Amino acid sequence: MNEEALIEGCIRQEASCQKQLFMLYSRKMMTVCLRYARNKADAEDILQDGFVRLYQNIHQYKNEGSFEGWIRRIFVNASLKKYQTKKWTMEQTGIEHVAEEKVEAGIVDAMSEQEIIVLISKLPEGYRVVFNMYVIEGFSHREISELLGINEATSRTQLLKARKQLQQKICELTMHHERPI
Amino acid sequence: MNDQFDRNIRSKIYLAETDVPDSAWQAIELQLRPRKNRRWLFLILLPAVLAFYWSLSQPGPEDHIALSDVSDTGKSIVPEIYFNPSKPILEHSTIDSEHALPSTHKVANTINPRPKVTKTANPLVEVDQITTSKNSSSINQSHLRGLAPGAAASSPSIENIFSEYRDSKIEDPTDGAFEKLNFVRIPGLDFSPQTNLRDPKIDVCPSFRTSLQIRPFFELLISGGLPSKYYALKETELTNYQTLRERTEKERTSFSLQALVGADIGDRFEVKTGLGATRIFEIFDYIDESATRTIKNIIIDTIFVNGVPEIRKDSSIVIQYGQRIKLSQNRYTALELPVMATYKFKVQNHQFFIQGGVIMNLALWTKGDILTPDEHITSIDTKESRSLPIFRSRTGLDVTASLGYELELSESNKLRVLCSFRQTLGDFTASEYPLSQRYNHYHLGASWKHQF
Repeated sequence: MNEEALIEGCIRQEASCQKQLFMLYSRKMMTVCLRYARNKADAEDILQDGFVRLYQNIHQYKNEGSFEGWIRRIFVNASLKKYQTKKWTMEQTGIEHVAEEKVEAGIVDAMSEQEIIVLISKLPEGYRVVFNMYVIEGFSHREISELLGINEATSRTQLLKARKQLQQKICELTMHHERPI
Repeated sequence: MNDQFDRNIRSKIYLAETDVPDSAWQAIELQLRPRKNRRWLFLILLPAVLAFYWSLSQPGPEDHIALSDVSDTGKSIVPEIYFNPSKPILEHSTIDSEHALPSTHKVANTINPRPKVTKTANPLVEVDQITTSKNSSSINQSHLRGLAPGAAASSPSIENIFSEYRDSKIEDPTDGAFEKLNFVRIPGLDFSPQTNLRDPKIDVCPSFRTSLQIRPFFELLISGGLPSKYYALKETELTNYQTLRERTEKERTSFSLQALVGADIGDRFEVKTGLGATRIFEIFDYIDESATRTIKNIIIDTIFVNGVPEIRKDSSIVIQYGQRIKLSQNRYTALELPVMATYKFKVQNHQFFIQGGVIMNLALWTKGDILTPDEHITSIDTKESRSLPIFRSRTGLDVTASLGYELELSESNKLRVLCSFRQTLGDFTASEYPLSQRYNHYHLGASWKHQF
């Protein structure tokens, strides 16, 4: 069954088509959810919520742009709604003095996908969301500021800090960093 | 450099895939197509059953005859007709025998036949109206003040009936000069005179009641016994955990207390509802011969190196081996709303009852404690009640059935003993928890019932 037939079936609320669509995209969308969620249980909640929204709104898909991109946007929105994102910007993490770490290009390639996802999920929530939206999903700072209700400068700052912290974590992981006091 | 880093990260994880739990689709499907909630059926069925029972117990106009035409000896009779034997009766009256004494078969195949009545010159017999109804002929509102022996010519059966009962004397509340005449009931022909003269016995015989009596009451029930717990695994990996829990469980009891108000409907039926509470106790005696205990300490400090602040994180891990003994206790407390119906019956002058109904769980509180070896709650845990996230805050409906014996202490006070079975229909554990946990209860109880 091709993608169009699958979408038509989902619009008609046929259970077989809905399940097939789930089988097709659930693994990818689970990754999206894991990147935004605080933990795995929350990610599963977001996944369920996202698919329910998807089936309820699939008739709004206009065949403009990629279907996967449209689905991904639904799951990102579901993630943002889950945590009421405006609160994230108020987070105090106390990492203002983290020194920038230089990450060699080959280090990221050498890491597994799951290792990177785990590191991203360990970022403070405010940083994690902005990093995911900007770097992975490709939102602009203007779009992020509108979606999260923050100004563009904050979005840029959060991204900078997130990037620094992630680089540090990658360095720690790859170098088995353990400093004596 | 940052752009390169971003590109590397994005290319690495944009299309990454992660395993999804098997239960995810089922949960989504449940949200898309929720199961039909049929709880309301209970609330409709119960009053419907009561209404049906009440309507059956309510005698109609034809049932009035049917109730009265069976004597203690089982002999069929029809209501009394009083007449004065000193006067000649029915000398010249004739009743068409075909209609007056139809066979059951004939009447059954006749749609509203109207019996033919011929009045004679003798006014001693006054038949005001003879009608038939549906499938059975009857004479309604007829005031027979006398019947003539001449009727025997056309209706020999009636003559036989008259002669059979003519000599039976009865007490007449009017002047004592009347005799009672009882008829043998003739199939298909019911005489139902709406006379004002009624046998006084009718008024004292309970079987002649035309409406059910409703009496309110209060009941206090206490019961206790053994709950039977059973698990259903949603994930097979937890088999060992289930086995461990079943093996380590030491003791289990449950108690219920219910305060009910209700109404007796007639002599045999009652309905009641109220509030109740049930508490389940469990004790687990857990011993792990080769336990491992891991302690991880993490210290995060901001230190200054050459005047520059730097965050330092240090961690240490301590692993301990040995035997772990843990005695723990679980307590589940439920607030409930029971809705019950009871049917009472007698066996050799002993009053028994069966009752059944639903118990709606309004709230569930769970509490776990660590116990000392002598089974006292340790001071480690606070005594505040808290809801564990693995349990539900409400468990839904239970169904229950009981058999009991009723002892009458006085006219308005009764003591009841009963044995009951109760089945929970909902899980105690949350839907996302992989091990569902339910209980059955086998209880013995006693209740005090006070009628207002």
